[in-house]
Amino acid sequence: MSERTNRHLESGAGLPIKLIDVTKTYPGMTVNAVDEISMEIEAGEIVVLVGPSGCGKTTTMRMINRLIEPTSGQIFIGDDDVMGLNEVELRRRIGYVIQQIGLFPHLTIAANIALVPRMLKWERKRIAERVDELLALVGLEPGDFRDRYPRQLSGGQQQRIGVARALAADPPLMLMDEPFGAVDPITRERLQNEFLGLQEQLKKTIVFVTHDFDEAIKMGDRIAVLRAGSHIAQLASPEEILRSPADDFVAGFVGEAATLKSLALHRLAKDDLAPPVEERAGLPEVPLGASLRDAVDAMLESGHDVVRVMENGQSCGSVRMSDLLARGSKAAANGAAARAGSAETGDPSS
Amino acid sequence: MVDPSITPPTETTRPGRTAAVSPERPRLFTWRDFVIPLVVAAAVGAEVYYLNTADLSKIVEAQMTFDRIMDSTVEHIQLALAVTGLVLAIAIPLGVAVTRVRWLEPVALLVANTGQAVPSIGLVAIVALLWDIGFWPVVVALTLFAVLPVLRNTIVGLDQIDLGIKDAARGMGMSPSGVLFRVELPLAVPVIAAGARTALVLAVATIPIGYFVGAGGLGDQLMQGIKLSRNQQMFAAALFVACLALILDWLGGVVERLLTPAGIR
Amino acid sequence: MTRGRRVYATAFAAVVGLAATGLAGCGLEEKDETTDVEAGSVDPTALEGVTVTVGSKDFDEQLIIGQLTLQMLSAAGADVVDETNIQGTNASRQALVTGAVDVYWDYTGTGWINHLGHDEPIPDTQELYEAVRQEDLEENGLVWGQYAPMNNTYALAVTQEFSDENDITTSSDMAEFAAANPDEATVCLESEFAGRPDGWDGFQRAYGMSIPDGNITEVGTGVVYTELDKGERCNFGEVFTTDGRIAALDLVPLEDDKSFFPIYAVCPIVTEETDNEHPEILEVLAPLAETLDTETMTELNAQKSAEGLKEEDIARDYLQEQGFIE
Repeated sequence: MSERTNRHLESGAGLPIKLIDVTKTYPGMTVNAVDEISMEIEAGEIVVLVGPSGCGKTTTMRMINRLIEPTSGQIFIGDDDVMGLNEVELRRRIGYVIQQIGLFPHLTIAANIALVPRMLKWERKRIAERVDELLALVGLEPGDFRDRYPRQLSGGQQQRIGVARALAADPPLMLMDEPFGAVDPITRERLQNEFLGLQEQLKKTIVFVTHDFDEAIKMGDRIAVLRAGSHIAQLASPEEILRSPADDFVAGFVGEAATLKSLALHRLAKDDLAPPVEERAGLPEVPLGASLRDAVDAMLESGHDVVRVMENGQSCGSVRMSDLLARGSKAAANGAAARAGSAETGDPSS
Repeated sequence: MVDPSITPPTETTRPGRTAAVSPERPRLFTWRDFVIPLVVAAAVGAEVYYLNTADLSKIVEAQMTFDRIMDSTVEHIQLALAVTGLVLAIAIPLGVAVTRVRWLEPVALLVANTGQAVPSIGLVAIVALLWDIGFWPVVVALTLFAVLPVLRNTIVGLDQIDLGIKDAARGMGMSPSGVLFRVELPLAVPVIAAGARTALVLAVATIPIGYFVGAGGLGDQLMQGIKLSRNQQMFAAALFVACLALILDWLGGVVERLLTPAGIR
Repeated sequence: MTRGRRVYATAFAAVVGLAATGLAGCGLEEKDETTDVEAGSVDPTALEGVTVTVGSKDFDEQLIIGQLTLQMLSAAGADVVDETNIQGTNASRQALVTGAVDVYWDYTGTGWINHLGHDEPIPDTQELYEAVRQEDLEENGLVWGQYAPMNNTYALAVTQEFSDENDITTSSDMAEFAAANPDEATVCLESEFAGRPDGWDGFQRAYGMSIPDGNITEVGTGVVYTELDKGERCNFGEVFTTDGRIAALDLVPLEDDKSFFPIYAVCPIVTEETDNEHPEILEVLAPLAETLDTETMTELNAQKSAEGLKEEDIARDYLQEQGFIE
């Protein structure tokens, strides 16, 4: 389990999801689009479904809110069997974000966001307040954006509204299919960061589909690497996958520079820091909460082997390159031990 | 609850941002929109002046009185509106059905195409033969004639809606009727309205065909002028029909603009 | 368009195209270039070697007259071309004016009001004929030949049942009925009649009627007969006195007891040039015209409308009967 997941579980938000042998077959196809996938998703965690095109990850996700009806198998959200619920009601309690965003061009931003609350018959005042709250949450000035129309917004802004709309009724579960795919990389990174920030507070259960492994590592508490037919090649935390990919298929996804990528996963917390260092000309600075990779990047860029960690304008500590190297070798040793251990017990997730 | 330490700084529209923002609502109507009514008013005015002052044949004088012309015009408008209403009532639901049950498409289009391919006068004759003469049979016949543009436009208008929009609507928990009435149809309004205007103009122009089965309308004056070789009457009636078509089309445009949701105008 | 739909569309177009051509082909009857007739009392050399194109309007009486003309002229030795069945009065006249046809028959009343543009009718038959003849010759270079004594004019008609029920046989009876039963005084008119000064307005004035516009339905000529027969929409209808459908549908034309409707005579018409070159055309047709009185014309019309015989046969039988041809 990742560090992040542990923190989420404390608050108890979100609902767990269980997939049991879920299968989808289309008539005329010799192989199943989704072949008996089983997994458990903890409440409040982000599970990323990642895999090559056609592996069925989107189909799997869309079966959870019954946009696609499973051919066989069961899906539970909390204690409820999804097939026993009214599908329209079900979807109103699940946030749904897609790559094309799908904002309704003929409605104002406020009306777009207000859609699900209106369908759930909230009273008008509550809806208006919620709209403003969500606009602020995604970083858009309510007074400015409430009465605009989608075509007046940039791609990044539209994507934020898409997320706001999905969050409007405070659903315990969200399904997100390449939600940040339609924007440029810079905006995408910003949106990803902002969303992770939101999740810190909201702690919703999220099923996140992407084909981009780097995004998977960044966003996921756990990652399910899927083969064709949505067969799970590995379901584990990002660190675990980076450290010990289960097979060549997963390794192929991980690609090169796994260790470097894993640096991006670790956010600097007070515990990680060495004592503060005096300010000197040219010494790089990073904020508390930046990733280790940011720290390394800053050091490389400035040519120093130490970086000052800042909080509220004050330095609260520092990170040294030598500390990182020590960390790395310790992690490698742990990884070897873990692999040896799991080879004995056959436990794939540790 | 919003945690201020985590929320990124709010965006506002500062001048100089490259976002595609046009804060000004486009104005609903400009002076250019009133050209057609002015032209029509001028033409009608000129013709009325001519009819009142020129040396007219007695026949024309007797037939083209203000009362008679007004009665005919009112009848004509009633016929045109009845046809348009019936066309919309048939073509829109049929168009919606075709987008849901795809195999209906060739069938529906075949009927609509035939309706327009059969000469309108033949349609009127057949309906009169099988049913009756007068207002409603002519309306039904001309409806068959004019249903094609609206049907086709309804189908196209619904089909051209972004799939992502329809998926988002379904995925967020809109009922199927909700998706249709709150998303699909509003977005298809411009295209459907264009088809309706076409149908309206077709109706106005073809109504004179119904003169021989007692439909009424300006066709009576028109055909009479033709039969009696009275060019003044022929021309006047034809001019009024054309002006009526222009005005109703213009009104259709106004309605279209009012119905088009602000976000997609 | 998807490929499937393109195939479908092409097939549909092919079927419709073939059907249309086929139907059109079926509709068009073969027009004879020559009608094989042997002269009887007609001089077979009168028009030898002359080509004459004969036109006519498109209703029954005109079609029969057209055939009569064709066969008479053919018997006189002419090479005749059948261009009868022209749609509409104006088109028929235009065909003569432009030279598309050499001869056709028209009615003096129509000539006076429609073609010469007058608004006031002339009630006397002979006077009207002479006025039309003179003016059309002077103004338009058209020559009106000998007229036939038949009286094809307007009349109001009712069904036999209605006539019996309400004891209506004359137009004055109609006026009385209309005054007493305003709701039942429903009339079907054809648009030309409704507009002509020698038509509806004048008729009402002559008989002191004022039937409200709401009781009047304006329809095409043929529809008047069918609606009258149906009896729902109108109890009275405007008809032509020689029309065969009167007999066929058992209608009663009301007597014009106040002699309002002028008597319109039908005449063959040619251009001045034609008459100068071949005066024989009008000469040959004159004796035919003389035989066509009201009774005769009505009888011939009935043979077409009621019995459904072809106009060529009707014409041939009649001409043989009259001895014009063998």
